[in-house]
Amino acid sequence: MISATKKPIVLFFVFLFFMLSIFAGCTEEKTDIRNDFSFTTLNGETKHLNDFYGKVIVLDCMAVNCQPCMLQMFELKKISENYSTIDVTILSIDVWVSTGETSTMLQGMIDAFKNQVNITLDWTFGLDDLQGTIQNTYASAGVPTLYILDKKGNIYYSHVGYESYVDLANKIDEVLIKN
Amino acid sequence: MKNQRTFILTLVVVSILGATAVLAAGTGLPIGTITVSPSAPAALSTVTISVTISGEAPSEVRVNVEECNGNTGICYPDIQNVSMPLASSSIYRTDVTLKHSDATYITITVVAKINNAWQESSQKKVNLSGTQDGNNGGDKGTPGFELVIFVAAIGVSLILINRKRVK
Repeated sequence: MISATKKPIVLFFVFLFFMLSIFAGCTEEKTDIRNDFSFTTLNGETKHLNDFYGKVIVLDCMAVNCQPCMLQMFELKKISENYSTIDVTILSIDVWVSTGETSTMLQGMIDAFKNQVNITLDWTFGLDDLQGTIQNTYASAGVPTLYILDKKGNIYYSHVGYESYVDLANKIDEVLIKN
Repeated sequence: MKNQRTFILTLVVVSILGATAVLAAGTGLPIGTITVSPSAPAALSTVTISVTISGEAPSEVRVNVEECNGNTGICYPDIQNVSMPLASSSIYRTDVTLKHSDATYITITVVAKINNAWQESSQKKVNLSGTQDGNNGGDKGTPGFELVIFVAAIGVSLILINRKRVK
């Protein structure tokens, strides 16, 4: 039998067991970007993510050889048209440089949008490094992977795969209200 | 209406990707049509990819196979880059085993090194027919270890309560 002195200990472990079972499957959704990253723009400049802090950032980890990423461009274009650049900035980073994508290919994609469908992709484009640093950290599950960061650079929302303008806009509106 | 829009968008995307590939590779490509066997392979199956390359013999031919899920709009990062040996006159061939159980289509690009310069084919999209047996580690919604702990916790509690009553 359990002695009176051991009872609180046993009850504590039972309680601990319950709590563990309840919270074991939970993951935290909103985390901070702990490490800033750098990328190369199409002009060859090195930029850092923290250069864009102060605005809500829509970070689009994409690739040229990815059909959903091309469809995503149409949705990002709507964001570009409907939100002021004072409040929201879009960064599309080609994260498949380690698999052979180049700045020429990325520029070719932007030109193709302009020439084929008369859409100007008028936001910042950049490339990951050859080691795939950004890919490994932010887009290891696939492309496109989208993040919405608040004005301080904290990740407010993330989504792997194509995301519609409406869903993105809802999240942007939420983070704009909170900031 | 939505389907029509999706269809038009897909056509636009294919044309953009085609234009991008042509811009990247230049014109006058000697890389011919890419053929896939079976023509509608299943996810996780092995696919035989063949291509005809005319003109000067390339020193190296490789194929990039990318797997995507059209429902979720994801392309997976583990692109397979496989060498294509010469199978017969001007025909290069290789087998590639697909990795993702939930992929709904693959895109294939052949690159050939001709006169020390890499030339790239246009991208070929192949829809997958379905999924073969096998689990690629995805979460199928089955109970996890937390459920086991939960059941164990209830069991231990019931035993303790019973003991207390007997006492």
